[in-house]
Amino acid sequence: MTVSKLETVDQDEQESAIGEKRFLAERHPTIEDLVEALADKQVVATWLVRFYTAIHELNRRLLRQEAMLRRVSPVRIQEDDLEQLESMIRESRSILQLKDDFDGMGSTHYTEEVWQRAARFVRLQWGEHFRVFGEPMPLPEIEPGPRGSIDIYWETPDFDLLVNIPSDPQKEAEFSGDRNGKRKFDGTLDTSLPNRGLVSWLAR
Amino acid sequence: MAGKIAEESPPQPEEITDREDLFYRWVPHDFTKRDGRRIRAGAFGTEADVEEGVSFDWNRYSTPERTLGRSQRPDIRAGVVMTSAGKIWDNELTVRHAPELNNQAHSLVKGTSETRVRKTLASICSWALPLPPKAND
Repeated sequence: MTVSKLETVDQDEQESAIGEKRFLAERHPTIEDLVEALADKQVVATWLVRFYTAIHELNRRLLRQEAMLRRVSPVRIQEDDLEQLESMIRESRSILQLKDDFDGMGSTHYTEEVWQRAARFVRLQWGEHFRVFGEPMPLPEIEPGPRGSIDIYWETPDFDLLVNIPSDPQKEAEFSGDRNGKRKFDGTLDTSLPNRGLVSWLAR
Repeated sequence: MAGKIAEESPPQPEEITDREDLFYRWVPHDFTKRDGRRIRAGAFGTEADVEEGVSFDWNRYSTPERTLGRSQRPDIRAGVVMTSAGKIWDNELTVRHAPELNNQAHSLVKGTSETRVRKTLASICSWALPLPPKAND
């Protein structure tokens, strides 16, 4: 049955024709078969639904395989990567040398406690990134922030992210990020926990 | 008496309408990086900045030199950064004139959150008066 005949037949015959075209789509069609079948929106819609279902299933299987592989052969943390992280953290200790009013605008000095909290936060996210993605995350800069707080700043060609570790340990950290200057990312987070959303955002 | 009260009142705020208008801020070297080439977000958040917004000086009533001269600590190595009203608005921040008794140029930049404001200002400000060289340079 051809497409031109379809226009004149009754409902039963139409359904039969659609079924026929579906069958056509399911075996290996020729270019002509495909062109004819694509004229029918229902056939196209059926293909799209099946395509997305298949992709979803494939993705699910891949994730399962990846998780299994990670369990069987966990990725080893490279000494160099760890050393780069620790070196960056060590260098940031210089923040602790700044005295009260170091900026002439009344800023207070930075305490060992807030610096330790900032360092722990970076290590936690680094570990989480490695656990989830099997590679080290881009390293941030640990910088003096306002009023005794510490800023943690990531900057790559694709994104930047500022997390502020407050001097008050009871307060949550505030963050703001931009990806390619378009996608904005703002909120607060608990600095004592690895943050899956944050490390996913940092993933290359 | 009425005359004395009038003398002590800060000037009336004016509307900022020109995208080309510039705003200056004093920045000490500890809030810079890469040998003073880059400005850290920490430069925009002193005690005084928190409640109302981040303080800048409007170029209608100031120059980079005057902003530098207003510093209470001339012993601190510092420069003056600038940005324009257009850049501030384009980045979803606001700026308003908030004159003070001793500084008619005083203006305030605000945004949706403190980290958003500080991060944005660090990216849109450039040096009007760069840091002076280190004493031993």
